[in-house]
Amino acid sequence: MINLALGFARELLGRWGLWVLLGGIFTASQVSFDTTLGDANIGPYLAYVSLWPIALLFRCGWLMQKRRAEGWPLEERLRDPRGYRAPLAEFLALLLLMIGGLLLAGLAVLVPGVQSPTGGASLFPVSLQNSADGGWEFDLGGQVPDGGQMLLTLDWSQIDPPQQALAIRNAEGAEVLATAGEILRWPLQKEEAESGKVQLFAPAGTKLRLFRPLVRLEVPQPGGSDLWLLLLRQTLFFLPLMAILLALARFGQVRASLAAWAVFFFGSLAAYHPPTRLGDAGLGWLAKVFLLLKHSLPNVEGLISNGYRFERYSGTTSTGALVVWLAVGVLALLLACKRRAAR
Amino acid sequence: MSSSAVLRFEQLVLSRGKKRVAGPLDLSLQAGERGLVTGPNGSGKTTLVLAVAGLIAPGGGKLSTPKRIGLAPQEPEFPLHQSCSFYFRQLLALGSTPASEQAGALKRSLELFQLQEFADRPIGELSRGWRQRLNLARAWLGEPQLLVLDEPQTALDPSGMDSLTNALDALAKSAVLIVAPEGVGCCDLAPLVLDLKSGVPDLNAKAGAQL
Repeated sequence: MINLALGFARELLGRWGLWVLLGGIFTASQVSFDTTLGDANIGPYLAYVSLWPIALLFRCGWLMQKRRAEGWPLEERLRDPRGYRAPLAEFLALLLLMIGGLLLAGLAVLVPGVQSPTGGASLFPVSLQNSADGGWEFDLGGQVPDGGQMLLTLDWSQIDPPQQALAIRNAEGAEVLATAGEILRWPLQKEEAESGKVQLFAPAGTKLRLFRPLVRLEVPQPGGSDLWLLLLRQTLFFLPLMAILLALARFGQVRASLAAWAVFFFGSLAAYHPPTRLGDAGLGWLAKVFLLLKHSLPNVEGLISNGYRFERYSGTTSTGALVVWLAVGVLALLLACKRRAAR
Repeated sequence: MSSSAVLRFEQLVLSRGKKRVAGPLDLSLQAGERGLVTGPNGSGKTTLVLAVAGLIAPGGGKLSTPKRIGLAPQEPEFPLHQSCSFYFRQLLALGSTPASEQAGALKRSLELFQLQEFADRPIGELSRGWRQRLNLARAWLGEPQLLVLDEPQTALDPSGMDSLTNALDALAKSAVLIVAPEGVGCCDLAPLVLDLKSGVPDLNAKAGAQL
């Protein structure tokens, strides 16, 4: 099995694959972390690095198509009557190359001259859904990663008699002491972070007002030490996609290069974060279908979040969603190993 | 019919879609036996090969085949950019040959058809005749229980035919099914003839075509 996987990996890499990978990672690390060329942020680096599994996906589709023309299906049927060795070897080869590429991507940041990024924080707008006397309801635009907090600037001028501090609480009774003249930092509770909805209350009758344009969500940026975890999440995102490609091409008997495009589209849909207020109204039927498909998938945006301001959704994937996503991959791999009866 | 038959057809009907191509056919081959299937163009020889290889389902009757089948198709396909040895190692890894025996199996199959000197060359560099030898060596690879050879004499020179005859003679544990059109010189390779026109094996047949 391992020899078969290594042979497939060798074909996947081809003559130039390793050099393309090394050159790509070197360029990506320079472009992303260089203070002149990039913004010393992991997000763009993750975006560049994610091109490797995507390239593997398309290369695998092309190679499977080529192998079909080289008589491999006949040999597989003759030599592997149960039909599991070749798909497992292909999956293993993809896994090895993907992990190898991402390991190189992790090591590239350690090269002298590449500045390992340090964690900071980014601010994101928040919409105020409802405001009543002494109460505010905020929509944060979806799930928030751990460590997120809301920044509220309060207007104390209407309070009579003047006070220096007031307790702000939420519906569950958690409270934070707001001090006059200072920004209130509201650390998101678990439920608030998961739902992306926050409801806060000022003490009754205090006439404490909110500067609405100044409400912000602060999300910590993962630092250089988090890179390995982020790369692992990318691997977990792409593994089921690889299995789906094998299932489509083998069990579904779809042309493998076409299957690679289908999987790319499926993966893009899984990674896409639709605008928060994208309701049904005014959408064409195709957009509605896409939205329906998107919402039927587990929320795995947190695994593949990359690019500028990637920290907003990074790591927001729940354990349940991750398990479902991986289960889809396992199911696809089982299907890929299931040989169709001759007709 | 013997219960220890490696390959057995019983009232086998071959069809492509809804069209019946041949049958009903009866044949039984035991280990060490060779059978020759002949017939004119379009009589279902290749369909029979595909059915034995498990690529198409029979239209009716019973078809019993062993687990390990080696097939030399009429129009072989190869990864032309790969070397013979790399390709064969991949095929051995795909099959059930234990890792410790793979090197020996590779060497034996290449030697049977004098392909040793081409082992490290890309397959694309081989001539038509040498590719046919490679096609046969591929069928022999991994010591299958049943060998199915579709017009094996195609493009072989006298030396290649000698190799094929010797390789067939060296087989003791495998059954061999050879498929060839009428009048093509394969009859000395196998004594048991099944004419797809009649569908009945003729144990005494030895058609007149010469090698």
